[in-house]
Amino acid sequence: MGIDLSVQIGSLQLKNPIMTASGTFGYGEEFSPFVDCADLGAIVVKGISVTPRPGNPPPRIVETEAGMLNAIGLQNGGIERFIDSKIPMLRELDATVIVNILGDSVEDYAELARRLEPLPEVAGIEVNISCPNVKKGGVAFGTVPEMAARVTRAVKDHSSKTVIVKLSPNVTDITVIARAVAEAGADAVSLINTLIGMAIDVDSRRPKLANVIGGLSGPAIKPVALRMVYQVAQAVNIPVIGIGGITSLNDVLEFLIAGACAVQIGTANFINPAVSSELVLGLEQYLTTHQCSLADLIGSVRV
Amino acid sequence: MVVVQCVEQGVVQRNSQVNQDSLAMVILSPRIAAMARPGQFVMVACSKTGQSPLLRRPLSIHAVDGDCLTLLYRVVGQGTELLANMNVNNSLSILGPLGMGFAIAERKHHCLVGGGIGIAPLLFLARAIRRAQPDSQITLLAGARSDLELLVIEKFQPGVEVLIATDDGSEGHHGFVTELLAEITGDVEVYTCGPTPMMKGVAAIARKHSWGCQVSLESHMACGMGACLGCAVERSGVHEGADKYVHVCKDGPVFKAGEIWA
Repeated sequence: MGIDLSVQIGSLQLKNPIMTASGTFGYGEEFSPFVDCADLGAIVVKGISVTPRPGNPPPRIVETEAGMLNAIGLQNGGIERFIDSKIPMLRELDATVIVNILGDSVEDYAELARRLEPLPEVAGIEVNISCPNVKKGGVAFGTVPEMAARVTRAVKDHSSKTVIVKLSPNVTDITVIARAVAEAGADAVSLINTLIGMAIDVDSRRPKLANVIGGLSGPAIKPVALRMVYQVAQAVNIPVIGIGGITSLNDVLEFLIAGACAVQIGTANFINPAVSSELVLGLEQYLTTHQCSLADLIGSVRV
Repeated sequence: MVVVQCVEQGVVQRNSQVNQDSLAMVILSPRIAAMARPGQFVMVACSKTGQSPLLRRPLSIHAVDGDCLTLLYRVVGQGTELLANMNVNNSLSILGPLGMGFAIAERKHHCLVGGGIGIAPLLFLARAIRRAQPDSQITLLAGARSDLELLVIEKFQPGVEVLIATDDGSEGHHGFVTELLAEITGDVEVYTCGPTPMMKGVAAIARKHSWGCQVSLESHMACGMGACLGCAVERSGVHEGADKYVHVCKDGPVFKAGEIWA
């Protein structure tokens, strides 16, 4: 149809603004019966740490009204297994791959950036400073501006790839953190990660998650995410990637109009595994029908 | 093994009560019916996308007849309640077939142990064993709280010996279904699905006799495809890092009992 859907995130040009959110799309291969990953703007793979992590004990998920709580606990095989067993598969997928990284220390993040640097299969890095489900590290990096800036600088110092910092909504003012990482050199910010929540079984009076608390995702958090994307887009001059409960084309359009230049699809992948590629087609059709460009949409909210 | 699955718009052919709180739904779903193996499951959308409940519901495949799947389910919450209210010719989105099912062992005697609604995947299995090994012996041990909760026993006959245990003694043996295993001897493979304490008991007896034992586990899950990692179950033995847990959706739902309980 000849519509230009491409967007620029740092030095990275995405063929369209539809990405998948970390932790909801595996390593891409799980979804290969449903989605040609090469059709998406990018896939963001499950978060990787320096050493393997077992994750939290079950139960790890519980459904809530229009959403779900999860406390997976960053289960992953570590950077070594990722490079040995996942990179060859990702090469075959021919997708734009962004690797989500997480650590307990600034040094961990630097080490991960250094290990990913020589890999041509990795187009960019998403720095997870915002996972609510680990006892140490993650949360402090996402809630203290100086720490968020230090992690960002450490990754930038060891990487020539596009660096996206994923922000936590569990803060008083998200624009303060966004400005801190932008000043520290982040190429883009993605937001929001999950909101911390809880559910209790009334009969047993026990929390429904073994971890007691977990991250809320899905349509329930969309208005909060949209508000934060809108605020951050006003506060920084780097690209903003919107995440939070996006399920439909209308949701995608709302985030773009609020100021996001790309979006990530998360929980919706669990319900409709083909949703990400359907949204690419939907966006293309919308722009054709309305004879407008992506640039016309992005940040076009009339307040 | 390459696992193939798809999303298919199924059409309800029948949705009928089998006891006070359970129903059998027959769904025209030719692609999934053609690929399904005993012990596999499907993720069923109980509502339209974006409506409550948000997530699909995992249900084991009870039977495959031609182009149709049968799902046997108990009404336990919002999702299954919506399913129970579906009518003939309604359509619903089904993702499947999913997971690793039962492996039919080379044995003289196959012993299927089902507790309550856990009997659901065992009919599909019994029929597949009958086809693959026509000369082998198949026994179903069916447990329930009372005769009112016994499900679809008649569907297993002829060809399957059926032994019943009820908690209240209203039918068959008065006691646990595991006690019926005392009557089983020889070269046996046990396949079980039901409440966890029952399956643990079955696995312990199987281990004592050096029988093979396959257990079908249940878990809450979001995706059914190994992406959300929500359905983790701890493995037996000591395993470090990411190998500490297996996932019911992708590594299971059927496991060798020894992989879960030492």
